[in-house]
Amino acid sequence: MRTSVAPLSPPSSGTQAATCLLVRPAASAMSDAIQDGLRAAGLDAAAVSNVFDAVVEAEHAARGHHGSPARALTQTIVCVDHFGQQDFRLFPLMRREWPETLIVAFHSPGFDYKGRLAELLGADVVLGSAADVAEWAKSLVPAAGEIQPTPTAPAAPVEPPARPAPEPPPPPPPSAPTGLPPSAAYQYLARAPEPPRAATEPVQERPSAPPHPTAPESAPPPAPVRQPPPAQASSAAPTEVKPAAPPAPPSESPPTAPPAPPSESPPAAAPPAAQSKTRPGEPPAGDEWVEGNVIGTVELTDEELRLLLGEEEGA
Amino acid sequence: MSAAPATRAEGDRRVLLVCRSAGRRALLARLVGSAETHASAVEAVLAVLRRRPQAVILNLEDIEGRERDLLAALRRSRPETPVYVIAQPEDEPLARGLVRDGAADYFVLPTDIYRLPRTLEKAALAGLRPGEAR
Repeated sequence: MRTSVAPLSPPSSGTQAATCLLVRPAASAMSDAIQDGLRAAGLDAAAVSNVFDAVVEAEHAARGHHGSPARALTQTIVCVDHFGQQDFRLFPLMRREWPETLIVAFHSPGFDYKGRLAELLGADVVLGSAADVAEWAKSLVPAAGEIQPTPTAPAAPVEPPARPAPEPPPPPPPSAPTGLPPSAAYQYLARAPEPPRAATEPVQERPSAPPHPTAPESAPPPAPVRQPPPAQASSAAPTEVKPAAPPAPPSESPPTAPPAPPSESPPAAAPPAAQSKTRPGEPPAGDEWVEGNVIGTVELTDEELRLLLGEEEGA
Repeated sequence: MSAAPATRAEGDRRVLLVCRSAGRRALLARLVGSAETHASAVEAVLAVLRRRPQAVILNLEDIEGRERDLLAALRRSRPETPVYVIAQPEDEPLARGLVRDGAADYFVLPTDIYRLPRTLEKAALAGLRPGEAR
């Protein structure tokens, strides 16, 4: 027989240890590494070599077998590299029959597509390297004694704290699978670079998408950025000097001042009022800013302009 | 003819078919009578564990090289439930090997399959163990 089924080890004395099932090909160095990592992390894991034995073990664990008490599997780690079309049916079956069991799919680097298939079919966590499995297993170990409450307890309490304090957003990737409910624990650790992307994208979108919540925070940075050029002397000047702006000074100032404000203003644009001006049409806002900047650059000659205009007009 | 009373005497146990081909499934259902069909072998294993069918019939063509693993899992979960194999003529050596591994019998398509009802009847009456049918 090719099947090599290691019987589930009896529950640890006292507290129940994590009950973990590993579905792995019979001969695979990668699977050996995974099993060693689980063992090193202290996970109580039984290994089976195919999906049929996995179903038998899961059912026996859930209903009790040969006098052993019923204790549903808490985690099932499935190596999907060798999976065929029919083998993937294990995921929806386990999701349906034992929803409390966390299903972890593992794929070698070359089998990323199988990991994605497993995710689509119901895997809660998809890991792409043995190191990730070891790290994930380590994250389970501290909670090993609390494995039974974790599937149910975090599900309920997660909601209340989430609403009052939505600010703490950082969910550590490796440790999340332990506490999160099966349906909400989707984490693609194989795509480690993605989380940072997701973190950077909202930063870029913040000025545009959520104007209301971030308005007070995002407003200050843009204001100083815009003001520096004109703020020194143009704050009061623009209204007065507008009529005088058009003539000579714009010719010298545009090359220096205009490029800076239009480039910096869109990303840091103030959400409430300035956003509507900058986003829909840059030209209108740009005209104003250009005028202000032009004046700002000319502010050196503000008094001179007044004097000059007054003198010239007066003269 | 006497298969029906025998089946009733066994209780409400059905024959479990593992077959994905719709045409072949219809043929088997007609031959077997009361049958529960599964397109997925994994689902069939769970059904065998939970419902203790009268017999399991595997369509070898649909198991995709997992026949030995499946047979071992079925034997381990329900040693008393006979497992029959339906094979194409070219797969007869494989089917014969499965009988050596614990399957109760095998039937070669297309004509040998009509021996299935009689075999099931015998097994139901005698309570044969796997491997004793032939």
